Amino acid sequence: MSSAPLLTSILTIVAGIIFFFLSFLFEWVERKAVARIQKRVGPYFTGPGGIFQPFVDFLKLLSKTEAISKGTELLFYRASPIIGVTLLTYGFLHLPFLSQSPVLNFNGDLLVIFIVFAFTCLSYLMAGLSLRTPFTVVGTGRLIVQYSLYELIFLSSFALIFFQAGSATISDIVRYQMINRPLVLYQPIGFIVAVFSLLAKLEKPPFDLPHAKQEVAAGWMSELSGRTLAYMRLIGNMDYLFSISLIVTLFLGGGSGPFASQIIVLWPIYFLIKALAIALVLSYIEGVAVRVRSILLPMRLGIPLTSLLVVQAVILAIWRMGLW
Amino acid sequence: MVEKKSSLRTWFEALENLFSSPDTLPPEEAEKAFNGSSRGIPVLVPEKCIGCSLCALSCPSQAITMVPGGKKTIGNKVVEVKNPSFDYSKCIYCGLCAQVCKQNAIEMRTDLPPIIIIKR
Amino acid sequence: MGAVSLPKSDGTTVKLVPSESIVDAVKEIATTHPHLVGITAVHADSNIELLYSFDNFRGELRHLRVILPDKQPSIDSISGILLGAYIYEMEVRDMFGVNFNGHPLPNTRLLLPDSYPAGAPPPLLKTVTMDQLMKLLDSVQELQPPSPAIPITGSSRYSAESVVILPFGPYHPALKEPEHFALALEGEKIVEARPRIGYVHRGIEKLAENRTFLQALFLVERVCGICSFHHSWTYTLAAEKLLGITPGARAEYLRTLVAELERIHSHSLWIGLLGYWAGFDSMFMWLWSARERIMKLLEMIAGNRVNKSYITIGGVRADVSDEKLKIVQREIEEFKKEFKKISEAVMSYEPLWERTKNIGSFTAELAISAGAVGPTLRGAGIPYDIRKIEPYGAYPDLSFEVITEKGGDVLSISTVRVKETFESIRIIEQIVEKIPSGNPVPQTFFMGTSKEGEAFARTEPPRGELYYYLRGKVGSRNPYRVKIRTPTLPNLVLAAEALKGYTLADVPLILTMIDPCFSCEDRAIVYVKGMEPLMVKLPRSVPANLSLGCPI
Repeated sequence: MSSAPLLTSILTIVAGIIFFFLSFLFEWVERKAVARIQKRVGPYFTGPGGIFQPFVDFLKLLSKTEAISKGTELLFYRASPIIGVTLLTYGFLHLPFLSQSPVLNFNGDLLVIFIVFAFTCLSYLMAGLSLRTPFTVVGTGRLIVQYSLYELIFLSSFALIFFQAGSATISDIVRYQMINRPLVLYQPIGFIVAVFSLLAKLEKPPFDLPHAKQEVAAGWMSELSGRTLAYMRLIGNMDYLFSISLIVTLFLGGGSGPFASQIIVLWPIYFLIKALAIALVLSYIEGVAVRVRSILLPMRLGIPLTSLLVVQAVILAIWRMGLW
Repeated sequence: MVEKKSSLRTWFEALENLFSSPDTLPPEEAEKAFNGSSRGIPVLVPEKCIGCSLCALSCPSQAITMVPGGKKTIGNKVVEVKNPSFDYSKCIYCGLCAQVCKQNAIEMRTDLPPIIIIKR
Repeated sequence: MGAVSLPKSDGTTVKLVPSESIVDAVKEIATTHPHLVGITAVHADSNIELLYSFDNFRGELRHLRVILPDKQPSIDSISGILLGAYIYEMEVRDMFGVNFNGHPLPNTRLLLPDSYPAGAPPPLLKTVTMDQLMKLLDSVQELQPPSPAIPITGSSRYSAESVVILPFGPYHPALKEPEHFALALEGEKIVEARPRIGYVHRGIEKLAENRTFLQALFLVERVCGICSFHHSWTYTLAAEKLLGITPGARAEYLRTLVAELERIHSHSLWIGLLGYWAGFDSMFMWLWSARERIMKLLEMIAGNRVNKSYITIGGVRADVSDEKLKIVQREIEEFKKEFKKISEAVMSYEPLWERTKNIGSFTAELAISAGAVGPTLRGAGIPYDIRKIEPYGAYPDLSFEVITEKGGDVLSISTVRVKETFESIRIIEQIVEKIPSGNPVPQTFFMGTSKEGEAFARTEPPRGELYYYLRGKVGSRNPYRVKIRTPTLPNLVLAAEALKGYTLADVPLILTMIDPCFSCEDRAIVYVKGMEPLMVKLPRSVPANLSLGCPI
């Protein structure tokens, strides 16, 4: 929104740094919550309550020797972390995290999200297929199947938002929610579907098939090591934060809340609280999830969520018709 | 007991655990070498040993060798005795040597620091 | 047939069979006694004696003995009659060099490492000393790369396009122990599964021959970590039979107490791991945290958590005071509450049903032919429990039920294990009440010499029937031969059979439904496609006569 290029640059850097560090915080929240469900302590030693553990893990992996197997496609192997980190950070700049208006925006930038999703998945694929071993082949195969399923669901749930808010621009959707009410109140089913398909997107239980360790070891990540592994894990964390922020933006009205329009500092705080709440819900589902049998994936992911979305669309259509 | 399918109890169990304290031992407790039930480390009390080799014969992992232990007065005679020497890298800490010893010359001690074997 | 019957020290009969007519003899015996307990080989007096032991699920054992010369021994394979037999035959072939004619896998090793020279004498022959064996293994400079279990190129059955050969192990997160399984995948479906084992073979049977009876007790305990007490108990039972020693009543109760605690800890470990294998980590953590209570009890009683070293020939090594028994009683009540809560929650959990119901299905006939034992067999509805049919320890005085479930899939086996845990809790409650007084610790520990003779013993560890065979030579401090047949060996024949047709996602669950303990076994199977199992018809009378929970 800002016309001054300098301000945009500064904000970009600030948002990028916040995004980087916040992604580790969310990993900590997830690990700690899942640990508690499992009667464990979780991260413990580094920092208060082990809060710096994910970041230290990242640093530790960076310092490890990288073992690159013979026959690795180096172009894919090197390019995949760059694509993932860059695209996700770019995508995050389009979300209204710091204030009501995102750092970057243009008309119809909801579509940017799809590019980000597609390229995140592409970076996983490139990393996975840079060396074709049985584990990576099976893991990447599962990843592609899963991507094709959740992508459709996401696309449809965003279409419903577009249908109601009448705009494919993220800042317009946020404004619509501030004027009316958060979209979760209008489209609760759509919200639930979006949260559930997040689990598939983030490869979390019960949809952690692409790297189900009991079945395919580390799946597409099997051949990664050292700094590439560190960055791929970072991409995973960023993806987690980005997706949660997206849900907060699209369904929970971003950082809007009581007094948020008067006190400008409250916006990111509200945003963070909402995001943490979603992270907790996701962690709880992770904690009670039993991994889906791979052949039942379409039955458990595609069909029920799609039909729920159809129900939501019908309800929405009837409601809008009645209103007009 | 498993005839009825219901997911509620598992969901509730998870929620309950989320808000209760974890079962894991605090590290200070978990890192102790011995607790009240531990068997301990076999240590020789040289004054009591008469060098009968029963411990060395019974040792399941053959971790005990008899080495010269100097002169000792048994009864009225001064004799050359052999004392057991423990190879703690072979020892399985079963405590059988202490149990077979008629003189109670081997003590299982739990007040020692854990034995750390450094490979050279 | 020229068969001679010899009475054995424990009353069972051994029939001497000439080597040519073994197939006929087994065919005859398998109609009434379809469960092959094991094939025991002993090298004595320039002969190799093979002892085939059969059970009819009621504890009426029958043995066949064949005597072969130790120069190029050869005998017909009986794997065409009983599917599970070929794995026992491979073991005998590796260790004694006996050639089995008509064996489905004529050139495959089971236990010996690939580096063991082909022309070298088989390791368990008495003519091979420990020094020779160590020199032989040290002299190997180059390790031969093992040939792939399923050939991908060349004369392959599969075009490389459609089938992925997925290595499953030796180091794999789903396996507790190093074993390799080559899985041929068509998409996600398994078309062929071939285990390849022998990574942690330690030669315990040979080592035991070079130790005294008392020392070997500690050695066999280390065959397996989880059922360590049952190994030492079974060995002790066999040794006591051989040496003519009877333990006191209190010792028998204390042994039973530790054994049942071990069963609880093993079963709750496995049920937890079921969650882990199904991708339900919380269940794994919950059950293992409940199990910790039992581990602490074991440590309190025996001084150690895993390798308890608690039993000795003629008794146990330490008494358990009344205060400690009170603690056992209190803690077991706490455990019961906790376990009931968790197990009822998870065993009725719908997503877990989806992962386990009708997964890895097998029939009772297949299980019998493979020789399956323990909860695996009971999960298919056959009440085969050594504690009931051949009571040992304090089991004759205690009342408990043999749990069976219909079906024969992962869910039914899990249910058997959950219910058996409750039965074990019941047994422990009775033990604490009924335990007689007396001194369970023998005056002196056995360090004497052996009598001439042979003895065997069977117990029911958490995984199923465990069989020990012991032979003594007069005047010797060491056992002449120790033979161990662990439950995973026959069970794995079944698991590999049950894998086919299921998807990769089910592999961890199916492979582990038998609660495999590869390291205590390290004798898994190499399955060949085209070798169809020959079913043995179960005599109609058997299931009817086996009553459930018969009162004692």
